[in-house]
Amino acid sequence: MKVKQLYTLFTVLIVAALVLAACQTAATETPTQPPAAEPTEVMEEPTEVMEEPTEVMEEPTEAMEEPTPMAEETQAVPVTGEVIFFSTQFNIVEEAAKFRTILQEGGFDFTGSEEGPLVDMITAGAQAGQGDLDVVGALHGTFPPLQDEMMNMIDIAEDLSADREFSETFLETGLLGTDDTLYYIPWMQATYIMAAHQDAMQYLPEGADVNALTWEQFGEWCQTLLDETGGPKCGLPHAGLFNRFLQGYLWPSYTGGMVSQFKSQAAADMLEWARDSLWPTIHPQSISYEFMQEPLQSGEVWVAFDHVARLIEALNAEPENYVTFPAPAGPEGRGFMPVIAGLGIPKNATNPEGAVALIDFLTQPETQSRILRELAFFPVVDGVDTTDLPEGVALEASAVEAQANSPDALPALLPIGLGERGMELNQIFRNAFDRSVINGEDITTVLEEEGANLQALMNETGAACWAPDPPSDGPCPVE
Amino acid sequence: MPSAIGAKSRKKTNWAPYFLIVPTLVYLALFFAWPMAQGLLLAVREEGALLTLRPEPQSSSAIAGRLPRGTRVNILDQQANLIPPDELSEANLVTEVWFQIRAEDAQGQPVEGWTPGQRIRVREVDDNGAPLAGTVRPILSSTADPLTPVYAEPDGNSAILTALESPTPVQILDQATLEVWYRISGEQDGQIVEGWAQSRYIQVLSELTQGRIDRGNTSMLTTRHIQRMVSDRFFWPAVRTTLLLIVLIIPVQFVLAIIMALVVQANPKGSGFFLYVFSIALGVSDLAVGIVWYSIFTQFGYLNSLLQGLGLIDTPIIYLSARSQQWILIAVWLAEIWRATAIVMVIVVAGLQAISREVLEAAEVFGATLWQRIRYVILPLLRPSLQVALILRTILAFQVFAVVIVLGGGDIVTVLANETYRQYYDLRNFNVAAAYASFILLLSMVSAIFYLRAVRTQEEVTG
Amino acid sequence: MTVTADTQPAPDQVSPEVKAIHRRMLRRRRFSRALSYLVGILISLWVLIPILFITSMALTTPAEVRSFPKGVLPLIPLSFDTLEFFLRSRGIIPGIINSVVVAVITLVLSTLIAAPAGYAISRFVFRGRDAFRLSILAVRAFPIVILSIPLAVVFINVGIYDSIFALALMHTALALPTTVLVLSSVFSSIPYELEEAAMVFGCSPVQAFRHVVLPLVLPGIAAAAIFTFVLSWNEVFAATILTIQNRTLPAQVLVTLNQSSEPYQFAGGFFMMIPALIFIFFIRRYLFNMWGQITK
Repeated sequence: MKVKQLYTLFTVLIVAALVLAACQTAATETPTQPPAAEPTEVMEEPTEVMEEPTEVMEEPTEAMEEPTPMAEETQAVPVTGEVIFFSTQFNIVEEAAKFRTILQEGGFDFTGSEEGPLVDMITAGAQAGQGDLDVVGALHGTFPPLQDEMMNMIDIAEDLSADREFSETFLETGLLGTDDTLYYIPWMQATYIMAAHQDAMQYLPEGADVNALTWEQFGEWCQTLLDETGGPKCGLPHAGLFNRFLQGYLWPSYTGGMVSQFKSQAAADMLEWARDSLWPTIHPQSISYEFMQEPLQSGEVWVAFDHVARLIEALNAEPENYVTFPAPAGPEGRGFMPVIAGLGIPKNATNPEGAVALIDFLTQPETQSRILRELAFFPVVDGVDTTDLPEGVALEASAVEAQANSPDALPALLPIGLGERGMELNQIFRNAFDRSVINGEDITTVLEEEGANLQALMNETGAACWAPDPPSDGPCPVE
Repeated sequence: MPSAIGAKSRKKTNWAPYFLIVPTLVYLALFFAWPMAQGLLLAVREEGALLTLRPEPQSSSAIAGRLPRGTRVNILDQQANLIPPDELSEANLVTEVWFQIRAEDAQGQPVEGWTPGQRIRVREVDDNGAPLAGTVRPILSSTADPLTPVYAEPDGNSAILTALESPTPVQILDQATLEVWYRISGEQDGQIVEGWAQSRYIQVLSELTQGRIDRGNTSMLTTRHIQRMVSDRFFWPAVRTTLLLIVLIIPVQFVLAIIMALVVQANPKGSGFFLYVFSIALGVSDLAVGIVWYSIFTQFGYLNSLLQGLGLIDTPIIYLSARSQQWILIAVWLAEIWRATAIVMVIVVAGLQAISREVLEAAEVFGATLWQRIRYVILPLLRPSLQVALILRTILAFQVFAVVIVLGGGDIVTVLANETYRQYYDLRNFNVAAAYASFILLLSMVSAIFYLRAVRTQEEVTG
Repeated sequence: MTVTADTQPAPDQVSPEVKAIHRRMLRRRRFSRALSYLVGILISLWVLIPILFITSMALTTPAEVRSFPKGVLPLIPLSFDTLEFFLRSRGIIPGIINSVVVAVITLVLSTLIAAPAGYAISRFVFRGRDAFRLSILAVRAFPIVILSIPLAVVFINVGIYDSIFALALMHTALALPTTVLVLSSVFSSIPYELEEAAMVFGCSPVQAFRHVVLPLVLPGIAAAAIFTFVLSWNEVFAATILTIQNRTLPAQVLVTLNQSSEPYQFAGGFFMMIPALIFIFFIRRYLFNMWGQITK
């Protein structure tokens, strides 16, 4: 290459890069608002944990005057400037588009993000003293590592509760185990149910009621499907939310608890049954299934267990071909786990009034109804119109209700008090299952070792037991 | 060869070279030496593992003792220190705010007392920002007392005058900032340790005289993270897979690289073309390589298409699943050979160019076959290049990451770099992630030293 | 290879045994050359066919991508649908822009910092020169994984986490050792006598450098710079850890890998490969200078 050509090439590249970089930073700079007086006060005393909430509270009290007139007009465009909303939910392209449409009705927008980077970003923003976002929308488990960085939402909850009724249980889970600091306002709920293709119904065991199955009957059903249809037809999302399956469904149904009974004899029996009678009937590609709706639609799998939002595509596509039903029950009851997503405001948010307006918008019964219809996440407030739902959503709603209201229902709650080590709980349950059921290791050894890990986790975090375990004083003991 | 300036015997040292290398040194110190030290430290240090107890309920340099996190303790005494406003910005202060309020209780009787600031929602402030009035906040927890107690003094141990429910309006008369200290005693190694510590570090159990150290304020060196890494379920599989891949891939790559280099050498006419094609892989990202080979090995990919087209199979075979881990390894093996041979080849070609033609021709004239020429002339002369290439390639092989994720999904087949990523990203466990990274560093250095020794001694032996 | 047949004496002067030896040598040479051509072609096919596959996947319709069995004849049907779908996906165009920006910043920064050091190593003999060279070599051996994590923590504390500048700083650190060594060998290939001659004619050392040495080393510097660009463009591990909103292309593709469809993945792979293919073409001759001289 000639020298001149090289010079030109590099000059062009560098100029182009600088121009692009300038455009990028210009685009990302517009959302930042000049920091209000309150946050700078907060930064002077970074170590006073108790002091901050009272001072920062002063802004929302003034902002409270605004939402009430806004609540009357559902189509209002907020006058509070741009609200930066990050959500770990609705990250998939199609869901993101639908959610964005709903948000735009209120004049809002959102950015999807993975959980890990979002936590990093908020922590980084807190240490730098500059808030990057106003509202965080995430699952319950995302908030514990952020307890120091989140604002106390209790006043906002009080104001919002004036004209809508939140589900009490979910308001309480937002306390994250404390007595009076609310870290998030409940946003939407979901749970895990089962779905089956109509073709599979004829293979149900004799006398089994699909709405009141036991796990043993489920195993028999899958075995029959395997024998009669030439291949395994039951599927589990092993690459997806499998840990919730174990923590909220299998373990409680067989042992009546989650942590305290982790390595009990009942758990060992359950693992043995899973290894001998369940897993061999499950489709081997389950290892890579993350969303069960795809294998259901492609016909690879006829019976599946998954999160309501990960079954909805199949159910919406061909509602007449599917049946939904509650998860099966075990000797100790029908364990199930409600999952909650919440909305929180970081302490150093640049636009707290706008943040409150957004939360107000998202918890309106009308918006909750739209989210239910289009995204299959269930509401957390009363007064949501559930008539005339799309057929797929209606299918799910019936199963969700049947599951929660069944006579032997045993709700298992999300972990509380594990702080930023919540992920390790998931890993422990996964390890216990994978090692004994998939890898075939000795069940007693596996339970002893993983049980020890579990006890260490409880001791080190000091987390007390949560439902379905009876409350404990101090770290939850693994018996 | 460069001519040397500055090799003067004059006393005056030439400072020019030192100035020139300063930016590089500074940059490398900042971005290599320092993070590496941090990383190694992260792997052996645990923040907040110990709680330092003081002899008096205030921050001082005196130490009464230390207790590890998680210890059960007895709470013997409690003291709330009033912090005057001018000391509020001191570091390491952990404070609670209490409000002095006036309100009417349930019977309409006026009451005046103190209550924790957390329990009051401030609704009115004066011009200076001091709170004037507010309401009692609701209690959301179903297990806590639904009423808010009002105390005689800004102290949780003082008499309770009454209890208010939400949302009773209150007037805020005064505010006090407190730091609460507990005197605790706990046992460690058979010894009783007693002292004062701030309340934020102690988790009080329902029996108010019992507590547990929730977190510490002192860090200590520990091997706990390394132990956790080693006992992790994925550790040994990751080590095995990484070493297996290295053993299987590197010899093949070297043979292939030598062949490629010889081809380029032997064909001056076509060498431009061969040069370019063989070096393509140098510029391809390992993620792209993973995707390319995924398109071949996936269930509906090219390999199955080819086999089905040739009539060898009826239905597509699933290669990349948990039941066929060996196929995943084979796919990774092929992908890595495809990707990384170019690096070795380039080094080998450069080394070959340094071998004088006369030697090769002489060998040919003396009747040496191709194989004999390679074995007795070329390889020994290539030894330095091969040594460098080996070290470089092995170190890079310890870091293989994206290819394995794309083809193996991360759980079925895992390597050390992937485990580092998983600990950091999924489990948010920075310490164990740093432990994995340090382990990779250790393995890299050990192998480099091994190559330096092994290749050199052979050279010395053969003269 | 020189052919001794050219210098053969007249045939009738050579004994039959020598002729036989010459014939055998010729045959062997032709045979070995043919063999090496064959081997070369085979290996070239091995390298090119996967690239062909991915190209044909990227330049065809998404329906064709999902079909089975895949046509062995590629590029039928030719369509830009898959590429369009990929480019339109959320975060891809910004990712490309970010990748370009990070790579260019890395290129500029590393060249600016490394050039003086390379010059110093090649032109001066000073105390600590060998130690410096050795430490540069040693630094190349450090795995990026060990740097990313503490640097991520530091960037978070300093407040530049998730910015392309932070990532560019990291990539510069990665590229610096290679660039220093390469540039030192590039400078070494220009004899000092040229500078001396210029200085004899009245130039100052700086002028001598600018007017004599610089034009000669520019191709080598350019090659090193381009290689740095490619390195930064391809880097995936640090990019994934250090960026959230301002992702580079490889980070974006990796993070959405599990959730994305096959057309998206293949188009992504193809797109990531293109700059590499182009740039390596331009600097192929310099590659051997670069890597070869490091071993000396």
